[in-house]
Amino acid sequence: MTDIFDWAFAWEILPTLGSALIITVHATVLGMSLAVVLGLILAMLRRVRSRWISAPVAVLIEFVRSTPLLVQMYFLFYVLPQTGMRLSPLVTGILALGVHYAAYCAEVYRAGIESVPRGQLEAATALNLSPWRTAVGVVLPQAIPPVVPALGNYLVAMFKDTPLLSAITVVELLQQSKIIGSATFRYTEPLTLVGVLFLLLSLVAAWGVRRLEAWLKKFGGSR
Amino acid sequence: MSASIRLNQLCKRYGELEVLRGIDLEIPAGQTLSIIGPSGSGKSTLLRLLMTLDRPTSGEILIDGESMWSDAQGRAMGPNSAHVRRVRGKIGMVFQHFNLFPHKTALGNVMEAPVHVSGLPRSEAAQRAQEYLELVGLGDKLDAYPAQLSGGQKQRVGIARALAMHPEIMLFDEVTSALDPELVGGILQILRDLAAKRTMTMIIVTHQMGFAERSSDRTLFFDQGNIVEDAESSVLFSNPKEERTQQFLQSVIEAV
Repeated sequence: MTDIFDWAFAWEILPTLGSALIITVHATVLGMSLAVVLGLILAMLRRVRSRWISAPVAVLIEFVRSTPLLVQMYFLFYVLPQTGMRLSPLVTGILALGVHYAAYCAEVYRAGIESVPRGQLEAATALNLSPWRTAVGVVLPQAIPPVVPALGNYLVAMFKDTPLLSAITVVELLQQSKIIGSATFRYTEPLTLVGVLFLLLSLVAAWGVRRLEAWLKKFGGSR
Repeated sequence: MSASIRLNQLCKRYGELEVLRGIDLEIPAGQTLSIIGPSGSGKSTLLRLLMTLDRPTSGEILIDGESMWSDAQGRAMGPNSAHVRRVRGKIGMVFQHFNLFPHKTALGNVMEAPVHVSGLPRSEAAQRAQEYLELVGLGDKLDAYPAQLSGGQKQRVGIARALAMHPEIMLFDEVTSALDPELVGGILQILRDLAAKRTMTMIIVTHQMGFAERSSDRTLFFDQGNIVEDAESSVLFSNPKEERTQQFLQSVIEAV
């Protein structure tokens, strides 16, 4: 008769899960990097005066936000190769995560940009700053710090969405634990460890975001 | 160097609201002009139009004889066109609520345009910024962030920031209205010193009647989007011709 939780077995599978965890972290870090950069670009394009640019971008953002990540992942996985783009499942997955969360990040940036007082733009105009310098030197340094907590939430959310990668054959943490389970008929230990590892890393990420927030705080203040 | 300003039938309307109703005005280079009047009379709107923060609904603004919003061929120009940016470069503005960049130090605020508009090397821009901050009495606050400064100090930074671009025209939009009473005098003294140098054309929208009377060459009384009275400052205050001006000055005196 075996115990419900076999510590020795758990210890034994930890390295295997650990290497799968690296894939998961890898996907999250790259996916989020893509999301924060692409999200910022989308947010700025959405504010461009020309409707020929801003309107399609707005539609794209709304479309991506309103369709499930899993659908987008399958779409990229099965449709991209037909267009001649052959990417590995992991890269496809990172792309899907990045684009999906970029749409959410774009909305967050938009809120941040809109919270910058008009007077700041007027001061920039009065100083004859170029539109580019106004965006980069005046608006964004004030728009981004307040939205870092919201972006941080999306980092954790994306991390927790990485098991969806298993649907497109990426052997990330959850998939690895299922492989172990089906080979050994023991699911308790691998699944428990998956939960614990997700918890630990989410806490670490949240702590990191709080540190970043505190560091950014010193740039805020009255005008 | 200073520039002249000419307004031809300048109108500004926001939807149904007619804020400026056909202003004709000529301001010679180097003049210090005060604008007084009740709130909502269009005085701040006039400054916003002069700073290119807004576009006139109709009429024309000429800076040194050059149209602000159209090029030599009379073609309409956008707010970021080379033409408008060149004309705008002659003009500086100080705001009622300072509008300092909160993420930059006093020095950084003043350096911003010299570096990114004039293309000065950072060291040279820093030197210039320091000179102007010293001029407004903030030589010891170069590295302070706006949040660490009092209202009066913030406004001094605002003035230094505009001056550092060597404007030919300076616009002051109620620059003492957001300050505690004891800080007003210092700012007005800076304005007085600038006006005495006569190196810029200065337009000062103000509620400080004493300042307008004694320290500006000429005063306009604005009401409901029109210039009601336009006279030498000493004359306008001692001997206003229009009844509306008399009423306004009377009500201001009673308030004090």
